[in-house]
Amino acid sequence: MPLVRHVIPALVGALLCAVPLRAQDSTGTITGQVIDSTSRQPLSGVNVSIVGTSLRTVTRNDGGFVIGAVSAGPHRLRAARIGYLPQEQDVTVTAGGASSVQFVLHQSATILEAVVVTGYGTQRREAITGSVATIDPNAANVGVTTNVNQMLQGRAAGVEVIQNNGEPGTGAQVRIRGGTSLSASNEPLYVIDGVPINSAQTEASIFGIGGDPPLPRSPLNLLNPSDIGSITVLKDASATAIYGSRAANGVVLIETKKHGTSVAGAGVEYDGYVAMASPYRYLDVLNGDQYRQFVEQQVQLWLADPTKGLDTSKLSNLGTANTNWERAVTRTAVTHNHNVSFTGGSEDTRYRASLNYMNQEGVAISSGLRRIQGRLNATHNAFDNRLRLGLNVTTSQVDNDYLPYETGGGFEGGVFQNVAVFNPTRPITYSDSLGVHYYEIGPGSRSVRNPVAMANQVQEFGHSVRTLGNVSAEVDVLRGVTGQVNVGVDRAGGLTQIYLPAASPVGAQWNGLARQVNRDNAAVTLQTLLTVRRQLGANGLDVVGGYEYSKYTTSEFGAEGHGYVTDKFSFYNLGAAAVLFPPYSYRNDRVFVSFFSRANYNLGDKYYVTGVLRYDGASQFGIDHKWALFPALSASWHLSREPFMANAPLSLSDLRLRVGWGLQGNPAVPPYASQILLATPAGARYIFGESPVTGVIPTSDPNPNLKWEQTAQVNVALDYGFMNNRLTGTVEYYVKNTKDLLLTVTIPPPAPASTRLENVGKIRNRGLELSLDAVAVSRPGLSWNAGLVFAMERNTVIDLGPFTFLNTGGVSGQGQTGQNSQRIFAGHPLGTFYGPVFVGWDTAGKQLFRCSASPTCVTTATGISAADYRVIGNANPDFTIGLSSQLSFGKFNISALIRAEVGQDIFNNTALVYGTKSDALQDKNFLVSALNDPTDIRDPAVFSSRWIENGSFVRLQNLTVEYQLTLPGFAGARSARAYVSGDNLLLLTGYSGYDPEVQAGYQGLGVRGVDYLSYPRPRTITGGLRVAF
Amino acid sequence: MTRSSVTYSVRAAAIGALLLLSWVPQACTNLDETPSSAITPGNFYRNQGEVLAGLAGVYSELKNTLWGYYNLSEISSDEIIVPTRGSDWYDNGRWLEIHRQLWGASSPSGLEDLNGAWSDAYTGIARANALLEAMQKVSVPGQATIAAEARTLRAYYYYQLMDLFGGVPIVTTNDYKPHPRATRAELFQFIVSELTAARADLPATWDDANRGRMTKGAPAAILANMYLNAAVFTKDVGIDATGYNSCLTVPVGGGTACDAALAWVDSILNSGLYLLEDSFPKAFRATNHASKENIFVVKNLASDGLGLNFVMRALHYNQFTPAPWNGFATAADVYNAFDAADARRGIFLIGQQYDLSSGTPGDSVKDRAGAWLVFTDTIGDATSARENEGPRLLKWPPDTKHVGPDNGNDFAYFRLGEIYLIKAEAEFENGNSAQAIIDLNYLRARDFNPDQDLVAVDHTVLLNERMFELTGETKRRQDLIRFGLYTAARPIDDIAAHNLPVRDPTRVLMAIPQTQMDANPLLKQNAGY
Repeated sequence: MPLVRHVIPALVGALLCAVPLRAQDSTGTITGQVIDSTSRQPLSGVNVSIVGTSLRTVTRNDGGFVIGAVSAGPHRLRAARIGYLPQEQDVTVTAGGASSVQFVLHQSATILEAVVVTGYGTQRREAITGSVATIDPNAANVGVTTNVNQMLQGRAAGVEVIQNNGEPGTGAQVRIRGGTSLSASNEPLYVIDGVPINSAQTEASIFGIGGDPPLPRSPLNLLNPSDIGSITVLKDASATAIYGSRAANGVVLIETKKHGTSVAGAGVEYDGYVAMASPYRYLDVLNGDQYRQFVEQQVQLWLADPTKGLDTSKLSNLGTANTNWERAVTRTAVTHNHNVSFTGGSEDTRYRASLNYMNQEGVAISSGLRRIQGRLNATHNAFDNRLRLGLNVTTSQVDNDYLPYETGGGFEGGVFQNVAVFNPTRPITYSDSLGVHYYEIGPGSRSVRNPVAMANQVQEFGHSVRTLGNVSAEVDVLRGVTGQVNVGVDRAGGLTQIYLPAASPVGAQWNGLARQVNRDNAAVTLQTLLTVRRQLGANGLDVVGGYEYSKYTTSEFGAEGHGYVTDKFSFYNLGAAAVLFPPYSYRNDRVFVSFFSRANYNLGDKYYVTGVLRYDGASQFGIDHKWALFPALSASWHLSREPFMANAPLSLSDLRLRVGWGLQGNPAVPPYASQILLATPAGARYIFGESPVTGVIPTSDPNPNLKWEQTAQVNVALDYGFMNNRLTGTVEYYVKNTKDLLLTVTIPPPAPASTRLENVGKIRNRGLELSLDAVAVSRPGLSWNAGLVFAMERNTVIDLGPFTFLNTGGVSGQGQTGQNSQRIFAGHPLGTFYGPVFVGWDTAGKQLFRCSASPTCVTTATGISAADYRVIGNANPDFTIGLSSQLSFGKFNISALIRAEVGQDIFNNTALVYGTKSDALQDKNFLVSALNDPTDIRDPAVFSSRWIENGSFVRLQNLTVEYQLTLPGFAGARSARAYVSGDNLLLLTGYSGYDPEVQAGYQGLGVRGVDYLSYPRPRTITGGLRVAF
Repeated sequence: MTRSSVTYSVRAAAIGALLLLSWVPQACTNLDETPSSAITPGNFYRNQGEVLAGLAGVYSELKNTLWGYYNLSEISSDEIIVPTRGSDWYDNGRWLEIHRQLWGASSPSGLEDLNGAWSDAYTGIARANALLEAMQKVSVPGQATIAAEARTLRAYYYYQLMDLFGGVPIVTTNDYKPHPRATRAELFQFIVSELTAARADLPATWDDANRGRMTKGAPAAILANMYLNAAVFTKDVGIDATGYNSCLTVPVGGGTACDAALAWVDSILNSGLYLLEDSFPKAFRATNHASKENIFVVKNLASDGLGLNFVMRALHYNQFTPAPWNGFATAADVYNAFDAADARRGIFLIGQQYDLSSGTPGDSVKDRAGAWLVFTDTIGDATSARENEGPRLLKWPPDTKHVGPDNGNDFAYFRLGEIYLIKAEAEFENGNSAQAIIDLNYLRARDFNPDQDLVAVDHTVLLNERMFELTGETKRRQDLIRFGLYTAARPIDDIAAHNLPVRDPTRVLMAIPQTQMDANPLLKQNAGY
């Protein structure tokens, strides 16, 4: 075990310093108090430190503090607290005396820490030269937040977060400065307490009926949002290059809460809420009466002219019920969440522990998530604070109840497809002498199914147990020289259990299907760091250098059986199957090795320069390209500190210019992709005689040149502050050039495999980001802070290697096989819709499209040729806006978050397929919008510009009202706050579909903006209570 | 505690940390990758079992050709049409595009179906190349036979490419470089020489445990078929799209391709190993594994992923479990060309339909709207057909033991029936009409009761007899091209109503798919695209 070999010397090295240093001979004490400038109330939890020493403390509840054993002489004292501008004061300590100091802290416009986590260390905010955004977890943790991703939404410029859908625990698409990869992941790297986490799915995917299974869960579901102390988003290359080959999509650094950062002394906090969620929009399909009326009308048409309408046989299939299937599969769902945390310890040893229980029902029936999570954080300081030991352990159990639905596909479908098409004149259940049964259109296997029955009968569950832990030891080797060892372990076990009962039309074709898959993910990370800080007169230098080793392993075992005498066994007795499938298993390993260093140089607090070098190796790359160097260089100039800015106009109080450049990589290559491999896929079996024989075939081509995608990024930024920094913000411009795109390229046959992963092509992203934070009002008893983030991004495909174009964005739905909605080609952005141009209808109700033969040429669906396709839309927004506001008066605190995206096009795939009357030919229901369009009932659903819509929207994401309670007779409570919060309260959009925020990564390469049946997004009202004792 | 001890301990710690930093890299910079659940060619193909597993991989690609190559051969002819039924089977217009021969290099069917057929065949070739290359380094029992099977299969995959696309790059090693196209005549010669060479090492028959593997009959049948089509198969341009392309026009050795075809036919007939089933339907049932009519089959088994799924393509949603796709149908003119007394017309489903889930007709079934499901002989408008329109081809009836969509019927790419038809046609070209009539009547004898013998023969009779015998067996496209009728107008097109262009004579060769043109810049497109 190599890790053990590394840890032991490190710890031994640390123990060598196990000799306490003697205190100085003549010392004094500093005492004082810190208060808020607006409320004049004492401030607890303020970090007070003596600059240039390790002496520090945290203010008590009364705002007071004492620092003992301070050497006599002049010192500079610094007070800093989240949400306040840090302040420094000079104080002179006399031997044996006590000096007194009072700080009056002003609230900062941006709610920012003075010290920012930047990867392998921290930096003073003003010394940061790269592009870094921080998010205040307390402000962002409102409403029902299951996951850190949700906290990023609308709060950082250039960070786009789209929840996949409304399913509990669903993943999200997180894009920092846009996606630059076509086939590789565009997700950022997540680093929790310094350890990069494995974002591999913990559970094998579930069944996926007639299409792709629901989208994967978020890897961050293991973290309880209430445990998060800080979130830092590294955006540009100069900031992220320290993470080298894994940083091209940006980095999200998450630090968990530790004792002493926000609460002084021992204490207990409780924080809990109950939330009610319900779908806030419906698809609007015909109800039973409308459907009956429609069929009768069409039959009249047919009687007059048998080439039109529906024949009389359709009448016989009309029932008498009036079922609203959308309402039948949805509900008002309840979520409970309870957190208890407690902190304590002594001067040297401190801990914080927390427990979380969450039970979230989905707004669709038979779906939900339950999480039990525990966390322990402990620190121990020894040898006069020269050795600092830290421990973080999180363990969580997440139980998912999945709903059988699909994210694409065609002919058959899951719950949401059948909600759209199932005959609304039929009942959910009926009774006979044997009892109550679900209504189905016929016995046995059916491709059209009762969605309520499917939701309740099909059993799909996932259980993940994940433990994430790290231990760190930090030792001051010399004055200003710190060595650190950090070992992280991440272990996840995921169990997927599926049973499709014979009683259901889904499971009938197998007479019951049971499957169980166990997946095991393991990751170990070792980091050793050496940090040197030197103050040279007015100039400062700090250098960090280190080594990192990570190993990721995924293994899986699965088994499946078909044909059960009873549905009673569910998935608990696979062996009882009539047909047992051979079980399967596999194992993958990946190793990352890195050497890195970063140097920050501060010239008189006016000029800052940062240089980064990272030398990264990854096992999955081609034999000739396992290693690469990732450099970055950035600088900033604090203009407002220059004498010539002393009398700046417009009450300009702060001005900094930052410029940065760097290289980053995207290593999202599956293990072994660079090798020629032989495998035994099921499709390679053949029959000799009458027995199957295992076939071995080459499944991949060797590519010794396979390497990471490489992104070069330039960032120019201006940070500004006005009116004594009551108004602050940043304007940033960046250009990201990504080359060596990972693309699956067709190899001229007969290569052993027809395709292989190669590095070809170029994509460019350019963007402008603006953020603005204002303390609009700040006076005793009333304050109003507001923040605005604005981002615009332009993406262009520059080169596609051997491809003239790539078709992507496969259209979902019956009769749409092989139809694509988007094309990737040079000169156009990703997310370019490409298809026939719809011009109207002919008199017979056939849809007409423009054809290229002549300027006036029009044709019906069957006459469209490839030459008639045009660019018909762009899925990228012109700009996005996030607006947050926080108003406090008296004991009330009101916060709001509004998000807007403007100018993007959406392909309404749902309307294309289910907004067509021809569905009635097959006894299927359709959207109300189709009732009054002139399309003939026999005209097929044709993808065209008709279904591309403007998706601009403004959404009131969250509104929270909080009240500070005084709990009489509960004297122990330090503070108590009650709140009511509303998520997704208001959506203003012209988009006719379900929701203009669509996650579309699953329909192919680089797809954006395709909307197909998804799990409904809820509107949620939450009531909660936070009490600290 | 003295000052010096402090200094000492600090220094020691510093040295410790530095040592740590310098020592770690040596131990932990190894990035070699060794897969756990896959193998690499360097450590495989060492013994007979491993070599046979490689051979099974070469065979298994045959199953994939039953989608791409099969669909193109059938749907581009008049035997099968996939009408658009409401929105169902519209699929970007690709099915009607194939039927109307409107494909292009980057049209919907060009990118999906043509590219699929190209990739499938070359995948088979690549697997054979990988195996043959590896086998040069080992010696296992049965080596020569295994190599001959792989070469026969590789030649057959090249045959499919030659049939659909004309001349294509000939590559017999594992490599990743682009190669230029050979001419169709060069490819024809390559296939002939490979099949001839491989045949020497193939057994005449296999034991039961190995039934379905290549025998001497397989290359002979492919060669007979190739020589009959030689006037087409040797030409990239200059195929007569409106007249008969005779094997007489192609010299082979001292004689003609017709003679060569007859020689290979004789080698099969004279082997004494092959025999027609006593009834036509028997040759296609799930019990046809040991049929002596089979010469070159794709083996199927009623087991998950190993069976024939033709029932899914043709049957109505409510006729089978799992629910079929209600797609492939036949045009009225083809169905009506069959004599009502011909047992071979039984391959079509028409009229009231029954549940076939058990393998035999069960209850009458209804359509989705609840009316009785009655298949019509006509399809009114192929762009908006109803769910019951068009007869359905069910030559390979459901297996009573089917597992989901997987049925155990073996599919013969070559069976004895075709050999008689090749014989008749080649004899007719050689001026021996009397023998041609004997051969045709020998085949017809099992289909008519009482016998309805032919008394005269001409090209129309020959083409029709081939259709009656071979519908759905991937031969119709070749036949129509050879007889100069492939790009002739068809009644179901209804050109006027649908504003369709007249069929283009260059469609006797398919377009090289754009995906392949992009991957290999040395490829030149076929004429007319």
